[in-house]
Amino acid sequence: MSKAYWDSFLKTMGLIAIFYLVLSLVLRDGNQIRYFYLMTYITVLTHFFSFFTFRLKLFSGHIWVRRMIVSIFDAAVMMLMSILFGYFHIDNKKHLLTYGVAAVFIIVFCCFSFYLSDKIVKQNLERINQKLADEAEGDME
Amino acid sequence: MKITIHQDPDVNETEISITCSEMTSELQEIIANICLFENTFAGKKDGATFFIPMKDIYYFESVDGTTFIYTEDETYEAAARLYKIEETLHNSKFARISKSVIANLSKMQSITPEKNSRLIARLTNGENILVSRQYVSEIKKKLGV
Repeated sequence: MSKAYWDSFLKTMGLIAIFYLVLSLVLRDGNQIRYFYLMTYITVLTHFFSFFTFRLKLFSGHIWVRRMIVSIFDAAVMMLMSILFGYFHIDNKKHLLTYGVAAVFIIVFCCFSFYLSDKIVKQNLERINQKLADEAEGDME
Repeated sequence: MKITIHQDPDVNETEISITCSEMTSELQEIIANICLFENTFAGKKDGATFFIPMKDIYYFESVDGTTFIYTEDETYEAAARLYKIEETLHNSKFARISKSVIANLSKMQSITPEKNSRLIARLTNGENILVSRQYVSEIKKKLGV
C-alpha cells in the first residue's frame, strides 16, 4: 500500500511540476513561484485524501458517491488554501458568490476528469476483450 | 532439518523425496515452493495433498490470510502465500486482478463494467469475479495489448 501511495504521489507531483513549468513559461514571471508552494500544499492534501478514499472504499460503496466527496473536498482545500495564502479574501457577498462559482467549476472539472478516466478504462477493456476473444479463437483452432 | 544431496550424472529425472514423522506447515510450505518450479501447485483438500497443473487453475484467492486455488470444479487450500505465487507467476498468463485475487487470463472470457462502475470478469466455467480498476493496466500488459 505504501509503495502504491508513493508511486501515485510522485506521478501526481510530477504532473503538477510540469503544469507549473508550462505556466511559468507562459506567464514569464518569477514571482509565480509562490503559486508552486500553494499547488504543492493542495496536491499533498487532496492526493492523500483521494488515494485512501478510493483505495479503502471509504464513506460509501458506490464509486460516484466517493468521487463527489473527493471533488468537494478538493474544492474546499483549494478555497481554504487560497484564503490562508492570502490570494483571496471574502469581504462581501460578491466575493462569496465568486468563491461559490469557482468551487462549482473545480467540482465539475474533477467530475469531468473521472468521466474521462472511465472512458479510458472502457477503451482498455475493449482492447482486452478483443485480445481474450482472439486468444480463445486461437485455442479452438 | 537435515538436507542430503546425492549427485548422480546417470539420473534422467530429478527426484525429491521428503522423509518426516509428521507433515508440518513448514514442510508444506517447502513442498509448495518446490512445486512452483514445476508449474504445478500443491493444494490441500480433505487432508490430502494434490499437485494441480497450472493450466487447470482458474484463479487464486486470498481470504483471511489463507490462499485458495480454484479449478473448474474444485477448491484447494494452498500452502504458498499469494505474494509468493505472484512472484513465481511473473512471466506467465496469470495476473493480479484485485488485492486478493490472481487470475489465469487464459481462462478469462471477458471483462465487463457494471452499472455501479465495478468490473466483472467472466471465466470460461461461467464464474464471475471482481476486477479492480487499478489492475486493468497490469492485465493489459500481460496480454500484450
